Amino acid sequence: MTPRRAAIVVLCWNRWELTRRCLETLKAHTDLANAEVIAVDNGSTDETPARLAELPWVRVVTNWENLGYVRGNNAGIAAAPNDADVVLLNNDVEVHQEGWLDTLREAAHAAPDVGIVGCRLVLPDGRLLHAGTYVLPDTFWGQQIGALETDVNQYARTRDVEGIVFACAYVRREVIAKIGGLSEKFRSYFEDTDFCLRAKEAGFRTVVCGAVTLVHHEHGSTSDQPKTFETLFQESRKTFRGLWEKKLEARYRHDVTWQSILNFPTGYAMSCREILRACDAEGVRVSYEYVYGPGTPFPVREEENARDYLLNVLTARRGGRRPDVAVVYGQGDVFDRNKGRHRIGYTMLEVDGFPEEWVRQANGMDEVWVPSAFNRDGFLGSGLKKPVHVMPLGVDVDHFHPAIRGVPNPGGDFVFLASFEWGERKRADMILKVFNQTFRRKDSVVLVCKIINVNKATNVRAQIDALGLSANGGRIAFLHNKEFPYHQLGALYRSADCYVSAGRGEGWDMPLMEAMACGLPSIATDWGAHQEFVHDGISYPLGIRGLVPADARAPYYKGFRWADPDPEHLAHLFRHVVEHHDEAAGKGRRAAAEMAAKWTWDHAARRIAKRLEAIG
Amino acid sequence: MTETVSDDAELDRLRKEAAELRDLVRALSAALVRATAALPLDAALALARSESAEGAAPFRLTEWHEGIEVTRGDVASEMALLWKRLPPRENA
Repeated sequence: MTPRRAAIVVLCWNRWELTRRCLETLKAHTDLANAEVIAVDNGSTDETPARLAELPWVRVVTNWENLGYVRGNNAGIAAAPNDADVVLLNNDVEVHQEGWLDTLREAAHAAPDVGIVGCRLVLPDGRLLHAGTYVLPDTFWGQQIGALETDVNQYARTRDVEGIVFACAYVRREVIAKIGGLSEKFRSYFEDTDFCLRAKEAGFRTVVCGAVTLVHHEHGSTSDQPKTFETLFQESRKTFRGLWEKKLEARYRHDVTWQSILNFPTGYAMSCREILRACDAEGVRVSYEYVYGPGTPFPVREEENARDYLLNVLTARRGGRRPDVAVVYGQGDVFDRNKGRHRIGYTMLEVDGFPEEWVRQANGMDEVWVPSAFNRDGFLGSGLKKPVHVMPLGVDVDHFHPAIRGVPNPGGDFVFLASFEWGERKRADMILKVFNQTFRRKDSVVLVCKIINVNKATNVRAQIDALGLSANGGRIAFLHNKEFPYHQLGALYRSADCYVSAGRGEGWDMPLMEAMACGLPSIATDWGAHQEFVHDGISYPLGIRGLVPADARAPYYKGFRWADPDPEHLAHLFRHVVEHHDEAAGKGRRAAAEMAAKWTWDHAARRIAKRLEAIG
Repeated sequence: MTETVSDDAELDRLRKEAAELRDLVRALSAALVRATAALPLDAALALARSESAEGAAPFRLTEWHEGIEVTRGDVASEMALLWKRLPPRENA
């Protein structure tokens, strides 16, 4: 079947150099057999009209004065053949990807209800600028998803979004036929989000096709005129608010106070950030409050700034009308701080039971959530009398997927990766010794250990020295006390060939899940909460020799047991993975597919929304 | 020699000085990573070898500054540096 014809509309107003670069790169990387280029000259007073007239492959539409962004683009849309799709392309965009138009066209026609397709936009310095947009009804300040993250090929899939910036927008003819062009209630700004929301009301989805990346210089026509920008922006924002405030508010179906931790490098905090983001997208209006601080087991105050727009807005909601339902997401000894009328405690632990104080406080809740059946059984066995629901966590498959760009070992060695906080639970000593003994220095195998130690009583270097690792044994490289931005962690996993999690017990094991989502085969202890998402079809379960007393500094483990991972089996699995590359790679591929199909944060948020629905 | 300080003003001054030193260490660490990452592989290996008193070890702890300070870094530059510092296989 012949592909649908597309008209690429490039709006120009002076700044010929930008337009020239845009058109040159467009021509060099676009198959124009089923497309035409329409340049709309919006009353330029520089050399633009003369230069455009020299390009026989460009159809020029001339506006004799500057009609602004909206009316200028509408002139281009009106000039397009009425059976063609329309691609709006800013003149400060450069195209450097062959097949970009075909890929966008395929995404647009992948389903009848897809109406608008955007792409990843990057800055000339390589940072990601855009992977979709959202507007919160609290502020009506449009935000670009992924803005200014180092580009590691995150957001590579095609996914639904609320809006896109129209620096590049592939719009299907059916949408224009139904809702017309850009709304002329706007002169500039917000017209793109307005268009996407109108399309949604007309039954069309907006998606970002992550397989296409264009360069956006962000030299908007008002970028050097701050007063003009401010006037236009605020005028459009007011118009947008008037049109959409009630409808955007109405997308929230549930209200909840979420008492937890956000701005510390802890597992609860990192997962909390993702839960809140996903819940907002799922129609749960979350108001965040810090649950720790003075008078709690973690008496440190939390910084106000989450360095994330959405999370800051959710934090600013506290103090408003208090929702009936409150969730404390943290250790069980802060459940008593729950301020809701319907009180939920959401927690996890790495051993086979829960401390008496946690159980006491949990029995003061209306219900308890845990991420795994492992923890549900441990809680019930410790005396929990209240209803307990298994509410699994998830993984961010936009930042953790197999196409994330890693930094491969230039020597071609097979790379095992282990990442943990130094301590009794993670069995670092066993992993290092077994690896060192299993391989020889001449082997093309290396273990990378990412270690965090914030306990000043622990001297990691001395403990490693004390292991007496052999100079002729397997080679090990360390990343010591290095913290990486969350959005780059996928690149760490993709720099390895197999992930190792050989600890004694897990409350969930987020790094393992992230590595699996990145397509790595993994070796994981066959005991603990992560058994919720790990099985031998997608991982190598590490056998245990039994359960042993959980002797550790953490007071919560006292009196409970955890696993004793089998070092001989670990040695066997190390060798097996290296000797069976293809089998291991297959497990990694299946792991990534399963994480994306069953274990995303969207899945987690849907379960939360469903539970809130049942609570009423 | 350890000096115990109890005066609030002095304590405040020392806290500020400590914070400045921490910032300096972070900046130096980041500069070192950038500088070494830019070296060609041979030069980086030579640098690592000449500094190392642990040439025979299966791992290198020469850049290991024991402490509880966590420094932020970029995965690309840190991994590039790590691969350059990897003990060579051929010296077995």
